[in-house]
Amino acid sequence: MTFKEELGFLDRILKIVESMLSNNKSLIAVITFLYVLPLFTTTIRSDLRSLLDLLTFIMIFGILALSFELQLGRSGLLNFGQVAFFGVGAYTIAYNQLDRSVLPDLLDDIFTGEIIFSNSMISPIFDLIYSIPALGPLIEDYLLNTYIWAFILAVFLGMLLGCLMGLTTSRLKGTGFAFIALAIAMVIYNYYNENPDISGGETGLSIKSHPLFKSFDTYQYFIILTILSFFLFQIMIFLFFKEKRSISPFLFSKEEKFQRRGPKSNSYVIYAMIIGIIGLLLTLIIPYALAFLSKQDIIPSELNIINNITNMQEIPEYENYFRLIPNRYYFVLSCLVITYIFIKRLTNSQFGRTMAAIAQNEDRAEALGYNVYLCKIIAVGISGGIGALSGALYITYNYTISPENALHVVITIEVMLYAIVGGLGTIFGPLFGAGLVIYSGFKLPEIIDDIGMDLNDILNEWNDWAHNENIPILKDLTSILKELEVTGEWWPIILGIIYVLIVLFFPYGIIGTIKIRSLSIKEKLRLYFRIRESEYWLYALLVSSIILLFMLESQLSLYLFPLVGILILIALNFRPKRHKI
Amino acid sequence: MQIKDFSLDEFLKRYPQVTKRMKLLSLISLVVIVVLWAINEIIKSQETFQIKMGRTIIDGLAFSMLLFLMVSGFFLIFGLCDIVNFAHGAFFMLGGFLGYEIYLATESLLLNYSIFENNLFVMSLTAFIIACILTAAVLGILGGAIEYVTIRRLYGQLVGQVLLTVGFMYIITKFCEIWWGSSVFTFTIEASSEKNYFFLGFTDTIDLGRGLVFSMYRIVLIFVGFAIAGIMFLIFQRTRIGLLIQAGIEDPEMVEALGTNIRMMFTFVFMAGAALAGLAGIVLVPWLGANSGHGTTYLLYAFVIVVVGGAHYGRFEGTFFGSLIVGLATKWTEYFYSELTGVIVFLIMVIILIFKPGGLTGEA
Repeated sequence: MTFKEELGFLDRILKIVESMLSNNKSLIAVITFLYVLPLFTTTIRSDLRSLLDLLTFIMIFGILALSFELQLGRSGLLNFGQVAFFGVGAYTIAYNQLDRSVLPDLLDDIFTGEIIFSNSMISPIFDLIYSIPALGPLIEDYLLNTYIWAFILAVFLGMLLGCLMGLTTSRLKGTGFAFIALAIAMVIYNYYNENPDISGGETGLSIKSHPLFKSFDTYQYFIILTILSFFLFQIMIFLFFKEKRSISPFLFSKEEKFQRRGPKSNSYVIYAMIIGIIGLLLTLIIPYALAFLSKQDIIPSELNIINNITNMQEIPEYENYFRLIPNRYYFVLSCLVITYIFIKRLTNSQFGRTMAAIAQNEDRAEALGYNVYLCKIIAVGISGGIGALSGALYITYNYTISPENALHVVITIEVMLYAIVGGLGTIFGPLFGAGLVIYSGFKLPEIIDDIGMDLNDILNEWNDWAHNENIPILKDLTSILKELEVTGEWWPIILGIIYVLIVLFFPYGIIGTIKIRSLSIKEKLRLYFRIRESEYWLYALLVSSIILLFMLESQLSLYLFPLVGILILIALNFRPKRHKI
Repeated sequence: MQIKDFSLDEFLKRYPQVTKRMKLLSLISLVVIVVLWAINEIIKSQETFQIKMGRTIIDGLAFSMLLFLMVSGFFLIFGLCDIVNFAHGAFFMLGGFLGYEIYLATESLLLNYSIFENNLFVMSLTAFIIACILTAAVLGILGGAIEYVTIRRLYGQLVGQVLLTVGFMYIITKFCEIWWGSSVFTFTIEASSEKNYFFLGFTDTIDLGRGLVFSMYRIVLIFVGFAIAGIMFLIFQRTRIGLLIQAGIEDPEMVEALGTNIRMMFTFVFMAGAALAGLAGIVLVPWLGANSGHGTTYLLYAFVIVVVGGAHYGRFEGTFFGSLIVGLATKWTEYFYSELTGVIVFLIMVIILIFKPGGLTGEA
């Protein structure tokens, strides 16, 4: 008789957590990296601070590109009206923060608790909640805040608009849908453009930074989030070492030998507690160790995390407050993480597979009995919600919003480029594409300026030479070429050439091409570099830190590159020993 | 004897012709109301109405002919090659700038050698025609080269095509922005002359009375546009290549199976489309000028007109009538309800797509 093991509730949850952690190593590593990054910002203006701003911008448009990819890559719907969602989200937040409140006063009263507390039936419950020390202010500041609710309203409105666009898919297929979506977006744009009193006209509506993004309290909550993600990261590393070592009964065990002994109640809980204590100790030790080392002048003072955090508290009011506390970055990052996980779950679900079936062959999917029409509406609706979220986040970044920067069709084209350059059919692709294109937009002008200077010098030499030798054709040619004056403003042309080259050499986008060839790439990595799939997280971390250093161009790289090298060495030499059976 | 209760539903069910007539009646009454309202409007402001209407018709016709010239190229590329050519607006804009430069160069050349002596009108007309031909040729070669080198590899890949054409749009637009700046470039065809030509003494403007003053160029543009449309129809109906293109739009695989080199035809059509865009670009210059902002604006017009006219399996007539509808409607709203100017084009598109999903001539 076989004995079936029955696990307790807590054990089951822990087991699910364990499998989730060991299946998404790279994702957790990168997320932790991004969460930990702002801890190294000091109150003095550093390079990292402006880099965080750039990253925020990239992430906002990355979310928009994700929502575009959800339509084109997953359900085969080309939508030229993506910008409408973006604009709806942005204007919802703007209206809510300005005089013309979208959320009416009644809602305001509910959220600030006046109505709830006047109701004697509910008030004892709320009193109870408020009596819990940490929870009361948390609810009052964040859950009952109209600003947060405006985000939810923005997402809801975006979904509504998406469903409206989706309704047209019943009659129009392919490019027809693209054009009608464009028409809807253009009607909104033109209406807003011609009515400056609601849209703010060319100067746009300007919105002040919300106190939520200025407060140190919010920052503390985000730091708690950071610690949590770091904690997850540590557990992930534990699991990784366990897998490498294959020591059977040390951590969450799956060994058969162990299971045959019968149900072990609370075994998972005990191991989880051990790991938790070790993790907590590490989380406490690392900042203090960094602080100690930086006080001894062994490492630069920017790495003193504790000092960085406490200094944030003492920033004077008149300073450019929102630039100094990285709340905005954390907020956008959290939204991005939620969106990423949501899309990942969605595409792996039943609904996601139905969408893929529709994208491949619509008639066949319909013949098999799927409700194609409803599925498309839901897909466009979800995508609209995500697009509106990105628009709502954009207003926390830009503070002025006009039809030109929130509703113009150029944004659709840009977002299309982000998604396609990165690669359709992947979740990471659009984010990568957004990062690449936006960063090159910031960086290309400088590079081209340098190249242009060199070119001008060369042309000058040629010109002198041609004048000396008196060659008429060369004289004219060099003088014409000198008029061109390659400067930084040429970058869009270079970018266009890069797009063309990408299409010709990476027809499925950069990440898309890698994904298509992933099997052979994995094989090659295993054979030539001895990198297993379970170790990819390490390299993801390495690559992201190298990208960071490249973007920073800072002295920090001098300290970190040796560390990176050591990590690589460890990874290459850390091979599991063979079992002796 | 039993007396039944009278029920409207049953009555209508028993006599279906009543429903039919009621529908007709309601339609007629709607039309009558609209007509009465229109008459009321006219009576209220007869003078201004006539002036506005006259302007609408002349300007609208001229504008639709211009749009037709540009969009026919877009339609050819979209219909036959099935490519959404984002670079078409950029071709149009580049055509304007190139035409401007070529016109100036030709004019100075003609003035230098004083071929037409004092007859400035013929001189500038000749320069204009030469500029038109040269611009169309240059743009045609450019379009053909782009097709031959890059787009040829990407037939059937929607995503790749979009990225590629957007890339070319970026390159051309930004080049124009850097080279010519953001100001509007324009030239006028010299109107004053000692002799009278054709049916009119060419003056700067033509006065139809009641304050209806138009520049001569627009009226000429209407006739030229109709003439070009007629020539194109003839090409499509009578010549072999035109018939092949029409057949290719309907069923490219069958055309290929019957022994036509359809790849060659794609290149040719791309050249023709780009050349038409360039031609439209230079034709616009004496009226509205060449500007680096024109690319996106007119690209959107092209989208709308092609969809209205019939995007898939559509016919050439669809594009012609689509551009007529869009051009007249744009100008009509400009003069009557100026707050709707930007919106009307897209409203038309939505309405037509709801009632005829395939556009005027296409199939859904």
